[in-house]
Amino acid sequence: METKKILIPTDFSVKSLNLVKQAIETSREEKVDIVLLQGAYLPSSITEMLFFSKRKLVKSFQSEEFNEACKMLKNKYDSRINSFCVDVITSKNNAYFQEYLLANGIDEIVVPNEDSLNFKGKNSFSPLPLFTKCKVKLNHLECSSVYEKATTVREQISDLFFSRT
Amino acid sequence: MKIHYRIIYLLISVFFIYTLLFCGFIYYSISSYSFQDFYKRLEIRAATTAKIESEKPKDVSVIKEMRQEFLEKLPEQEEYVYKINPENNGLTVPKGEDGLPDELVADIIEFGNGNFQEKSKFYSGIKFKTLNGDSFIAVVSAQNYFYTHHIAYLQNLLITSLLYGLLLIVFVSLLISRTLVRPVQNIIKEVKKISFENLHLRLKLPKSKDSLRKLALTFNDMLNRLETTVETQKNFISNASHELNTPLTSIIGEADLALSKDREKEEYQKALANILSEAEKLEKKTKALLLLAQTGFDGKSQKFDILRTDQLILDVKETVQRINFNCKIYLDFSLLPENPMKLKVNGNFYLLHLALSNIVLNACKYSNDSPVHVALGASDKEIIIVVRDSGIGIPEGEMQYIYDPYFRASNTGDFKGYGIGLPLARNIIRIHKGKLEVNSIEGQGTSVQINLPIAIIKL
Repeated sequence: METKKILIPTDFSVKSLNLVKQAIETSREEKVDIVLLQGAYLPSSITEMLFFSKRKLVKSFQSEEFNEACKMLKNKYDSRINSFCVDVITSKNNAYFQEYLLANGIDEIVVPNEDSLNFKGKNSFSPLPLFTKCKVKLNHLECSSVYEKATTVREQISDLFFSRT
Repeated sequence: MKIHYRIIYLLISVFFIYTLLFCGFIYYSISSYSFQDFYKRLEIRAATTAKIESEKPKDVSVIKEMRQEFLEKLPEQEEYVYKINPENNGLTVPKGEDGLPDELVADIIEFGNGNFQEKSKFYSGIKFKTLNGDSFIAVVSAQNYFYTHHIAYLQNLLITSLLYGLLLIVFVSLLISRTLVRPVQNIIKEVKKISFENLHLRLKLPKSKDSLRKLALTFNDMLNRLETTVETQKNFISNASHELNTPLTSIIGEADLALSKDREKEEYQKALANILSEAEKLEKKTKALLLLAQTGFDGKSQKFDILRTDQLILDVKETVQRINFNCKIYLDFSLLPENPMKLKVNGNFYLLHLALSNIVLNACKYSNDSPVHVALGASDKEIIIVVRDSGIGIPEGEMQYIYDPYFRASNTGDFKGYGIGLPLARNIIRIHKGKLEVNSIEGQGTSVQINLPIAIIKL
């Protein structure tokens, strides 16, 4: 059985997980490995660097609703999701990103339309510009939600539903 | 024990032990230093004495001069030079002299040098050989002036400073505990003033931005909630009796009117139909009240079974559409878990059905029959049901009152309702150890999220 490793950009909002849903639905392979990715700047002060841990950084981004929604997705596609992990890249360097793709064995990258994700959070940047220069297969997905306005107020699990109704 | 005293005792004991250790250490190290220093001075004198005895006479004068010039005489300094008997390793002590302590002599003969103390008299000596090969020992003894006078002074000094320090410590810890405990006591005093009659009182907030301010804020917050609850409790009876009274009045009026004179058969039928509908309304209201009262208990009287939530939602949809034809309910099962075990909850079907249909009916009602979405999903431990409408929403300032019985938001004037549905639903969800969360934006819509724990089924 073939498994495909899909890289999906995320801004750690529940809404962004709709991309995961779409990516799994559109992929033909039986099994998928999901890697959620966000760009995050490293801390600049030396004391923060001293106690830096990637796991802690990723954890600080994940809200309770986000985790809950991830679990819901995992339950939904229980037989298709092989593994599910959240990661950050810390540099905008192209070579670094190529190396990252190679090391993690990414088979496909999901590219949403430009303004669907919001990377204005603290210390975070969009990994989207890096995607254009890489050799891995790109999968362009439309990401839209009818409840655009309601979602901006508060993060809700319900953002995961109704995305295409 | 009062925290006030506890702080004082703690501070005093910590400070006191610290100063005690400090003083003891100083005393010990100073006295041991003075001993060693004094022995060294004695040893130098013993060495020069030995030199004078053993060197050639022409060198002796130089050494004597040196001693005269640089080595001052110590108090009660005495010098002893004795020959060691090669036969029995004993000393030849001239008659009329006390001789030396045996311990010191044994030490010197064995190791080449030695120290000894007898009360305030200190001895130090070395062994040496003269030019013609005889072994001698030279010993110098003196009173240790420092030990006898300075140490005593140091002792007094430390004890008095310890006492003064103790006084200061008591004073400081009193001051500290005052400043720490005083604001807490103030809060206690103010909270004591507040009772059922004057719930409108609030605590004064301290200016500093510390945990005490937070405590006061929390108290005030709690008082806010208490006040609203008490207010609604007070209003509950009047509201309830008013609600029950309205249909009763119309029943009585209708019956009165019908009986006032002889009428046609059709008119009686019409009157009776009116009475019936009013009575039905009354029944609905009393039933709702009864349910609210029942579910307000701990749920001990309810029977719980394992049930499937997707089944429940389908059932609710059917019921709601039977009650209200215009309802457009869209189910979203796109995130249904693959494992059906994750859809099962332990609950009372009737109650959950009631709660959900209440929420869905409300969603239909307050959105003028625009589409209502009901979604179902499951995380690892909870089943999540989301009901979302695009109706009138709830004003932000009124969010905190929505669970109060008979409360109706200010924008619900055009809609019929009793204000019992949501509190009832929340009570039911609470019985099932779940969570009910309402998010709303006025004029845009409301989303209600229900989390229910997944049943743990042992096979």
